[in-house]
Amino acid sequence: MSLHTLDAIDAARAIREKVLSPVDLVEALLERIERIDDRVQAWVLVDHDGARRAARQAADEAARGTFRGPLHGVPFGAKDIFYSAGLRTEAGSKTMVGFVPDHDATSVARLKAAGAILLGKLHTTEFATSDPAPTRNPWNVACTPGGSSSGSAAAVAARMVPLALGTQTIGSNVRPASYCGLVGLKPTFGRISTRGVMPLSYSQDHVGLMARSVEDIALGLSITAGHDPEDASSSRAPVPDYLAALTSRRAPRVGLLREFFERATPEVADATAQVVNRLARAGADIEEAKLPPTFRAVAAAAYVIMRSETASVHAERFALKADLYRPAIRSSIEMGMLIPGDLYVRALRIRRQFRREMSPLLERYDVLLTPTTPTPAPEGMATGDASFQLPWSISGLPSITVPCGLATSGLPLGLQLVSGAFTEAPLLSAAAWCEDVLGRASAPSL
Amino acid sequence: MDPEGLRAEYSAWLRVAAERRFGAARAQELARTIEDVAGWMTDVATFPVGDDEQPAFYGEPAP
Repeated sequence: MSLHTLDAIDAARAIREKVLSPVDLVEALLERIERIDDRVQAWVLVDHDGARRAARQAADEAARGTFRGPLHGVPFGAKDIFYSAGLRTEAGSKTMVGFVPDHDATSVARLKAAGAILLGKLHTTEFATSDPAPTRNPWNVACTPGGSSSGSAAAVAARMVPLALGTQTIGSNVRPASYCGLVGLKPTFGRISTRGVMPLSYSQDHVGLMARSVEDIALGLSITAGHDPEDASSSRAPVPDYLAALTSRRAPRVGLLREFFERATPEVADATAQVVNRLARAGADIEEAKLPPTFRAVAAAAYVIMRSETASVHAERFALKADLYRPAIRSSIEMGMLIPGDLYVRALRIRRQFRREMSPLLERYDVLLTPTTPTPAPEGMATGDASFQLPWSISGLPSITVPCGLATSGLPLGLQLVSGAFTEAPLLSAAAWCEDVLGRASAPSL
Repeated sequence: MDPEGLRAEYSAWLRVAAERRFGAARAQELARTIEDVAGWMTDVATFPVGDDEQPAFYGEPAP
């Protein structure tokens, strides 16, 4: 097996068993990046020196029998809105050129403390909105990888790194993961600290994870989740053992959200319906579930909240550098400046009402199920339709995508599962059960 | 007010506000975005929300 194809958990195990050196693993991934990233353009910055230095240190420690944590010697990448001490962090924006943070984002720091090695920074749309990154989809470079976590998805899919950090404010982690044939998790709001992540919308920003297996996501979440006193929105909810949760896989009770199938293309709806039949034959208890009335208002509420908060985030920088912003983020900020405060607060009330109305559904089922996206990855630069992620972003509910096959175009399709707040353990268990039934995604041929 | 009337009112108000804040030329460039935002504002303003529904600024308390 080529080293660049190893999942994070397998690489970590091999390093711990001393059959793999972190130095060899890092070199294999750097060679992979060198060979294919001119076509994919996932990386803004590859930290050759820093990664090699960290790998040598990890190898020395491993030789002495010292392991920092469960990802000792395993590389990861971070979207370029995560602060990384001593490494440029520019958020895909001319307004941020040359910015070098003096500390790591909490999630980056926690991965490093667990022994992981930051390989570099991954392309993002400007400030995680919709002005596209140059990144292409490894399954078909004429297509978008999705966004805003474009580089994170493309790098993991192209086997340039096994694990990456992304973010999601509307649909920016789960959607690109699905477009690129990955497992992608957006946990509950407040589950992973957003400290050191450039904000877009304070009350809707989530840190997410992308990997090629549910097991890797569970491991990544175990490391990054947990209270951060430096983040006002960070939850104090206890962090369960997410890997242990995967050992009790059972067929889940599934609420199927028909509205999403009706909004998908016929090909996606049919393919997902066939997947649902496979899950039912394997033992899942599946019935149709009806969304509450406030679902109709969540898109408008989410955009009113996001525009208002984005304007607040960028007020000072925009006053000085408006002309350096690209069109989509610029107009978002400008319109956010004009939205009246009473409507912002009303949108927040709609959000709470929707989350409250969702509670009975989430108690009745282990997971809710939708196609992850209405179409496979579209051609061109636009980053695709985020509408299937939006309700779970505005409500802060956890959602995950699992690969579930290929469209006739050869592009990946995904199955989205949603569960109640802070129920990532059963959500991951259900996702792992689906992964067992459906099989792992293949790799793009690059 | 009916939603269409409210939407037209928001749209007109946003155009004036954009002109005042960003200038007439920029307001013209924002014309399509203004229509989108006016639509969202209308949806938010007209959707029924419970009197006792408080805003959730951040996530619900941990379980």
